[in-house]
Amino acid sequence: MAGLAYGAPFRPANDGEILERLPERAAGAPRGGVADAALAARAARVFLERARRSGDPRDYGYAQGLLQPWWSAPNAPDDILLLRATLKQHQHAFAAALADLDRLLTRSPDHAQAWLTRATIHRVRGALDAAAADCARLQTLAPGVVAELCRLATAAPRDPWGAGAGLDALDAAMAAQPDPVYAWYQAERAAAAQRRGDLVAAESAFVAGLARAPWDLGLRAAYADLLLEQGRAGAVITLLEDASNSEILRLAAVRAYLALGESARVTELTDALADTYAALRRRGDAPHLREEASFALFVERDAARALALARANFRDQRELADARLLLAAALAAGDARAIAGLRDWSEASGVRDVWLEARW
Amino acid sequence: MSRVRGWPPLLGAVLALWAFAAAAHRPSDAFLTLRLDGGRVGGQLEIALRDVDVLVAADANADRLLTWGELRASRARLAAVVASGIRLDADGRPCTLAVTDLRVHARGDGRYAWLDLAGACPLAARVLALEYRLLFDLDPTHRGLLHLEAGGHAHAAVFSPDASRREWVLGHSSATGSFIDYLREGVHHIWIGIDHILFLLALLLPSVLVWRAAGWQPVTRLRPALYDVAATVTAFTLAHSITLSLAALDLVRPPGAVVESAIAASVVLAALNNLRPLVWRRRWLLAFAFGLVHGFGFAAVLGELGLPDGLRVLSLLAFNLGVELGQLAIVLVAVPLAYAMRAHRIYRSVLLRLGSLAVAVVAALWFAQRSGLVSG
Repeated sequence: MAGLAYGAPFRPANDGEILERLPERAAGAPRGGVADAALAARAARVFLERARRSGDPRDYGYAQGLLQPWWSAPNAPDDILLLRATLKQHQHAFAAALADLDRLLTRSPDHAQAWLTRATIHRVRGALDAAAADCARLQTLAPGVVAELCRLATAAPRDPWGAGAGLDALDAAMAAQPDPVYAWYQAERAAAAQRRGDLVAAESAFVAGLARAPWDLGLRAAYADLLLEQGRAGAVITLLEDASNSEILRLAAVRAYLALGESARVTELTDALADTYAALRRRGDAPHLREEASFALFVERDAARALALARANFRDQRELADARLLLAAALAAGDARAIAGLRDWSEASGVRDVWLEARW
Repeated sequence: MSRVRGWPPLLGAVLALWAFAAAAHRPSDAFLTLRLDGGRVGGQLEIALRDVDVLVAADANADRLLTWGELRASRARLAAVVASGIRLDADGRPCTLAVTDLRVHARGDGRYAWLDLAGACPLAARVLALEYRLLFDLDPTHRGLLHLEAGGHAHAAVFSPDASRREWVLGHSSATGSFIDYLREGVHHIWIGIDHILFLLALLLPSVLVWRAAGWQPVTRLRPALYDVAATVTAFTLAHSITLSLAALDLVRPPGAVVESAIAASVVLAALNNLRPLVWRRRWLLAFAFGLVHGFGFAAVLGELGLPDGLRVLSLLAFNLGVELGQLAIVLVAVPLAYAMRAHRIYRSVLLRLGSLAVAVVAALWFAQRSGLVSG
């Protein structure tokens, strides 16, 4: 039974013993729900912004709890539709998220925020032309650095050199932006640099982003991947030292300990991660495919399983890490058809990555 | 820009960025383990301490550090939330499920409250159903992960707001299995039913004596004593079997409080009858009359257990047989002892007199409590 994977339950010796550090209390859905849509939307936004920092899926859950009265209402107010789309995107229900955004934009075609969210979903899914069109709409509605970042981030997968230079040129303007925007900017900059094979530029982008947004788990995990790629396992351990007990960082840590030959830590982390993925699978959650594929490939060394997971993941997400993971799994499994398929996609879509191109 | 209003593009960056941070942490899961054995339910529920705080505001001083003392202090509130959020029933009849202990369990993503659970279900149920609604109103992404052992099989289920109720056909309609279950319960209930035992003992104590010249004398031969025991026990058995069957088959339904009071009164009268007998040769009449009342008492117990559809009569028979077997065991221990001690003065002066007096007093107190004359 999974319940006993971590040892027996216990009775602490004294009442003063601290059992858990809790997140700040925030107003969740009251029993019976919030009747006022504007109020509910405002409260849900607080949780979404907190989720960005905490990485805790509960925060997304509380936001959804607040939106429950409108969760399946087709004619929910704009603000609710936008938040609903964002939550659905988080749950990797991309088609449903896009449907909500389309509904919103049919009704309110000047909703800048909705165009930006739509662009992001299209970009993550590899629909770069659609994303570019969304960014162009955003540019006309709300010109500025964020619209420019939208445009360059969408252009970078096909032209990491030109768009990368454009991103570098935004540096001064971006410094004035709030931390979350700055972290996004540096993540796009690092990705473009990696596509060009410029690992030094990528690393300095990660370092700059983390200096202002140390809480950004996605940025930290992407940086850890870069270090692992370069065989710098010791640096990964240092990078993850004071990181919270997040599953995504544990995955990077176990790969580093594997490289360092610390088998006790490897066993401990491997068991915990395997248990986590098993529980996620039981729940029926989808958004763990990328992590699980990486776990199967680098930790369990099960190339066939890794390839199946990476393929399933690639149907949903087609960013830098997704394509690389798929190729690495296909190479490990010796699956020539999978390799050719990825190459065809790359040529047809125009997406560039020197790491991929050096390997097929 | 008018549409942008309170939604500057900044928010988009916040909202729409790293979709892949999805598996950054484990989502909110509670782990429920239940085992159903006969009519008894045991198991545990594990809830993350973060979720415990959301459910019952366990962090009383709001310093966002949850201590063992704070967790212990919130046990009653937690138990109430669990009682309303998790409902188990068997063939449509509710089971009881209570929190019996609170401990802490460390899991990979943090610490969990470990709640031991115990309860009872109607016996020999064919369909077991569980409804799980903990946290769903606050966090619709919460899931209850169940591991259930029942009817010799292990079952797993995931509870979500869209699937908050599950049913399992246990295939427990095996006649032998349910016969044994009900037989065991019958024995169990006469042995823990102190009022039934005292009534029976009060009737049996004088069996080895005869009332002569305003005093009890030991019988000289075994035969009349055995005849007396057999008559008393048979009358009691016959009487309570009649009312047990009538009530169990829903033909008669006397109010529970009246039955309980009458049982206490029967014990008082049986004990007083030993001090100055109004009836002694025909004590079997007393056994029969009050046996009718005790039968309704057994029926109340059986009502809590429930009778499985399709096996009602068989299960009733098994329960009744269990009661008789339990009663026979008491007779087989008490009667030989009484016969051996009957000539001794202690038997008559201490055991019979003081014993009966004590029983009468205790039973009178029960009567007062059960009939609401005194509280508690």
